[in-house]
Amino acid sequence: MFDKDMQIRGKYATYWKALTQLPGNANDTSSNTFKVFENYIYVYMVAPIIGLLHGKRAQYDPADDSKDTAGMLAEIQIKNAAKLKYIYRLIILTDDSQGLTNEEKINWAFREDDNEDSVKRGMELYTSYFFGGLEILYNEFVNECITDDDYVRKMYEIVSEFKDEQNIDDLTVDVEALLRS
Amino acid sequence: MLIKRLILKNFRQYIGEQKIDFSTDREKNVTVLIGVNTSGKTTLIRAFEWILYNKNDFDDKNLLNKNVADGMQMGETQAVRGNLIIEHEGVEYEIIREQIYTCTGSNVRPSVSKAYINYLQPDGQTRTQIGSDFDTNIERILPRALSSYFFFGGERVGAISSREDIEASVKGLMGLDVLSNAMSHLRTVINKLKKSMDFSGDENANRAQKKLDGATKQLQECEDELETVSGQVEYYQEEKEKYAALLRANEETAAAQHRREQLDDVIKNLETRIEKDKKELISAFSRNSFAFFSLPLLKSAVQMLNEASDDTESVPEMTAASIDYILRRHRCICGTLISDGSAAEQNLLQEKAKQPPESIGSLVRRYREQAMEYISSSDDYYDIIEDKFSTLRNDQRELGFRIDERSALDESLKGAKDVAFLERQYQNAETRLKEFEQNKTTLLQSIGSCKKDIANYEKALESYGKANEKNARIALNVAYAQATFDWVAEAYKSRESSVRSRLEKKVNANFSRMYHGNRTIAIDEKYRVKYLDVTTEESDGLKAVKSFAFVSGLVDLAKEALTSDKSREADMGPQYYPLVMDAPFSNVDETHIRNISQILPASAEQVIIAVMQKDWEPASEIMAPVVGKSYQIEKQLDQDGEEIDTISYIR
Repeated sequence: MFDKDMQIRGKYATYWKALTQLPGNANDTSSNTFKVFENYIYVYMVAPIIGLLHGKRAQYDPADDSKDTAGMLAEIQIKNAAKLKYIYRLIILTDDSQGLTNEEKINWAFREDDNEDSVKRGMELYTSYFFGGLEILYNEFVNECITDDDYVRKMYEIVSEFKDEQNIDDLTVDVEALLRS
Repeated sequence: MLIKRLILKNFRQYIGEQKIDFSTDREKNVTVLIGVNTSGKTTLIRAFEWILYNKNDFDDKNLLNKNVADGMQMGETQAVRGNLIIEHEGVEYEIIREQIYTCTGSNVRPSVSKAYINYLQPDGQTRTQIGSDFDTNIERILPRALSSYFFFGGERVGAISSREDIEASVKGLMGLDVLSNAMSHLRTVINKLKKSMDFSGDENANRAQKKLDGATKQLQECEDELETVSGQVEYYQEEKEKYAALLRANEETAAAQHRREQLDDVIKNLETRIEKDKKELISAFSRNSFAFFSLPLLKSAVQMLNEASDDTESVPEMTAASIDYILRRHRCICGTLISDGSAAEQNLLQEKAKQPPESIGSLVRRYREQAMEYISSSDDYYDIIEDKFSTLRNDQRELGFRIDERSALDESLKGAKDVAFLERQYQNAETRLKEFEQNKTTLLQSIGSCKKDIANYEKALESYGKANEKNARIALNVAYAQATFDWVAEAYKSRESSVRSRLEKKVNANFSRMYHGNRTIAIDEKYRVKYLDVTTEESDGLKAVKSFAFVSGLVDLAKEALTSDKSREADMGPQYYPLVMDAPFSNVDETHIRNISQILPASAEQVIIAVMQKDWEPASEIMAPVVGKSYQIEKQLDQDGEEIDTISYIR
């Protein structure tokens, strides 16, 4: 996993582009100019987490006739494989959509990396949350912001609201304690 | 000179013979001609100029009344005539100009105009025609160059005091030209005399003469050049003063413009900085975002892992594949041989069971280590975002302030002079001035050495000349001529400077009485009128007031010109001049009209004003007691009561 060129299509490809600063020669099919992420890879890492936090999964929409595509080369993923696998496992462990027991989740996350079928299902789960996250981020930013200023304020709002809602400072201490135990 | 009467015949709209008697009363010396627009006020003034100088400034050069011309038969002739009766130095003259128009059928053609002067014999009855040249006699009575000061229209008033050719005219009026003509005549005489000396046969004298001629020529060239260079020096001096004054007046603007330039830089820098701030914010937002947002998920994942923990001790980084490899080669990494069914083999198989996939203990441990690492890397995620965000906000606020400041400056600088341009002009004037002053110094040195050479050669020639009787006589004549020249030159010099300072005093006195602002004027060596405080804007009204002050000062001075110096015999009697003005008040406000009305009749011997009713009203409040004669210029009405433009009557 995370070692082959990947590509997505349709509106999610457009969403991905809308959230990412593209290299100068890329065909930017999005309408906004302010991009909140530096690279595709950052969106690819955070969007599934956002999707999962909101319990939002998404699939290709058969009615979507957009021919847009977006993707990443294998080498980018290989370079970030440790983080991607970490997120992959985190998603499998914390997703409740499959009706699995904790033991089954742990087995899927840690024991079945060599099982093609398990990996395929894991990647499907990852991608569905990635699409879900893309949709949320796209709505938050591109649909709600017009000016650069709107984007900037939104970036700050999202981060600071999340910090307050989740009580991040205490949470960090808790998680660190749990990790050490 | 006093103007007694003007008779016009068929001159433009003045059909038939029409006559104006002007007031010659010393007290009531004003004659007013009141008329509406296009009734012929300007035509009257131009009639004077036609009679005296054959000057025809009309767009349509035809002087014959249009209605008369239209009624002419083939071969018929009609005369246009002007008679001007004046008194000059106690003698009455009649100046007559006549032009005959002949109808050729389709056209009416004028002949060349004829003019002559009669003077009245002391018996008061007989008029005798003066035989000599008409123009020369007129020049004697009222020189043409000066006429524009005494016959002028409202639109020309403002231009009078800044005219370039004013110097010659003023010198003429003040009698200075007589002296200056005498000086140039004497110079010619001296040169002629010197040239007539005969040095033939005297080689030394010839050589000296040649050198003298060369030096004289060189001197002349240097003096010509000096005149040009002095003109340049004067020009750039004025330019420098003008721009210095403008710069002083625009000091605040300069500061504002400087600040605006600074702001342009500040704003540009801020804009660049804001772009950088955004980039940094985006970068901070992107990196480690996954770790930050995944914290809540991580908590439940770690809890789950802790509960299910089958954490067993294991060699770090060991994998099942490594153990399989050791089992296959039957030798441990410590060298122990591993045979099938041995205790060592059992230990290794137990160790293998701790490794994934049988045991995930080490994988989970690694996972936890990763999590720990990501948490610490996202620890300051929020702080960095907040910091970048507030930096961006501060820079944006600052940009807003600076843009407001610049807009306010833009507003205040609207229509302001470009100070940088003024500065460049000033620098340029200063540089050029220095160059020309340097030239001037060099020229003056050359002139000095030429003069010294000339004096030496002349001395030498004089000594050679004395050897010859004829030459000695010429040398004596030269000495007489030179002495006369020196005497005239001295008189000229003292007269000239006294004329200027007296004129300046008079003009200023009149100006301060006419002008209700606070300004002082000066007369420069070219007799141009200037303000002492350099100003940039001057309204037409102010120009007119300045000119009135100048003209009234001029006639005032002429009256007393050469009678004040009692120690000497007066070489020129007082000169009296009339002022004939057409619509003089058209650019001037009522306060100034009143002030001017006070002064003009007091300065001039005789004042003739052609004016519109509305301009006359404020003036008449002041002038009424000194008005001797008053006329209306009226247009003829047709049967429908409409005014006819081509026929006017003086009533």
